[in-house]
Amino acid sequence: MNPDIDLRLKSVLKALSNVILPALPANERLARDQANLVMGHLSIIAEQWHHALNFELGNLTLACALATELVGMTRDVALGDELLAALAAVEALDRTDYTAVGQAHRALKAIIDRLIADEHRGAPMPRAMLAAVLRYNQARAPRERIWHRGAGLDPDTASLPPVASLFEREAR
Amino acid sequence: MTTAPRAGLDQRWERDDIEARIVHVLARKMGRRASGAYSARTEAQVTAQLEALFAHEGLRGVGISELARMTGGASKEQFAFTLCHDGAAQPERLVLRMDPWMGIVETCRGREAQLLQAFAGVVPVPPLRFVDADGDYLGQPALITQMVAGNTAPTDVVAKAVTGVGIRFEHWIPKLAPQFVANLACIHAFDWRPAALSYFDAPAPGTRQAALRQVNWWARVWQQDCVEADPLVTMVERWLRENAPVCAQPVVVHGDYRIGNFMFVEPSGEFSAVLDWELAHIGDFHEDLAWSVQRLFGTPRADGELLISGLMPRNEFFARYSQATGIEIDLDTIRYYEILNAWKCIIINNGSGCRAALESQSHQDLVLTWMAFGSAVFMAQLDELLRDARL
Repeated sequence: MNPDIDLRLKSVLKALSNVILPALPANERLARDQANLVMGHLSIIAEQWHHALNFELGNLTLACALATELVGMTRDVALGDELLAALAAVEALDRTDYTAVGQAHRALKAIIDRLIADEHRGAPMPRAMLAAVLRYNQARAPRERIWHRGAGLDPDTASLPPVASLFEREAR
Repeated sequence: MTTAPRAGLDQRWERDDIEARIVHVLARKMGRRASGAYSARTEAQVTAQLEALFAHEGLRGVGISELARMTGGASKEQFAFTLCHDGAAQPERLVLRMDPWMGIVETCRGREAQLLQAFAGVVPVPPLRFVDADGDYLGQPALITQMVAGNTAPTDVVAKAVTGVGIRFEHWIPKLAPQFVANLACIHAFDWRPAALSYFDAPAPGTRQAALRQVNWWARVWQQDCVEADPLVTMVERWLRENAPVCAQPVVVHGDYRIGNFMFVEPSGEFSAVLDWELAHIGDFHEDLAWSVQRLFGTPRADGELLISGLMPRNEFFARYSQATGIEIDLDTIRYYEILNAWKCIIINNGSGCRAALESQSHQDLVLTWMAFGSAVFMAQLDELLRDARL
């Protein structure tokens, strides 16, 4: 058997907790703190890595939904065309390529950002646009909280389901 | 010290209305960006730099010993050390607080030093000993204070905490909660006008400048440090500009008044220091209240009720503050500053923290990427707050 990624992560965590951390002198506080954080990061990565592509695809889907709504609201023809071109590029995307999905997601958000910042400058932000971004955030925020639950920074961590459940739910 | 908004301009979009010293430190950060990777300082480096500073201060026969790195915080390099010199009757235990090339926030040690001096005797603060506001002697901006007795967390309650978040106070709450409110009331009651606060520009009273200056400051930070565009951040900036409240009487705002940023001694529970004044500015008192009640800084009680800064429920905090100050709290303004603070925290975590790690410009990139996980809490908070706001 070849050691797979899960086994390697488990072995690294064991070495850190059983050997490396106990060997660090108590007065090396920065080193001890950082060793603990390394273990924390690795534990989170172990929970997330199987789902990284699905998480990024979910992010992209949410950004596409927002972009589609905003295209119909913008009065800036050039920016609207840019957004349509980005949406078309997403359609042609290789959805199995994690890096490409991430790049497309970031590119789309950058155009959305410019549209929100520039639209109707000097006048109040259109309520429909504000509502669209709120809908986007309402869908995104719970996903982000579950995705990062392993850090334990969320005051409601105990009530958040495991990362895997996020994708089981989305598959349904 | 007070700068009135310029007439004839739409103040809401006057993006360059930022305090001069803040503009300076943000520009300084950008100047360091191409400097390459930053590593934690060695004890030998710190000792040599301290000796250079004390020589400049005119101390003779300087001896630096028991230098030990301190942990906690997500921005500064901190060291405890003992200073001896010919003019001192006895050795003095001091704390050095020093900037890396970039931290989770870029702030001014000179401002922090001025506030420590101004608030000595007003609320418990670490006594200031030396400041190197522009890093002329220590290589990077730094300040040195006396070591203060006490802890930020009880020694008899076990909890997992990062930069103070996650501390549990349990049976210490009855002793700590009243002091938490009383010290905040003292900070806000302080008359800053005659104080030596040359690094600060106060907003004009009776205008929206207090809020808009904060929006301008953090929008500038986002512009400089953004790693990945975020429609929520951009949308909220617009909302904040369009809904900025008037601040009748600007006060000193601590800017980071929360769990982890005060020390107390055991067994009395008496506060020994209010820490981390680096985000302080002159502004609206609602901003401090709204910062203290953020969910990320709260600790759930056994019955599920969230204790703000691990000490008391939100409504009790507001009631105690009003009782201590005689000031009525405007809940719409609280909500505005809760939105501003959550927005600012996303900028700090996802912008500056991730940028510093990406550019390898801090001694603890790992902490910075860890803190970014907390942004999801602020996103959820913004969702709730903006739905409740009068849109």
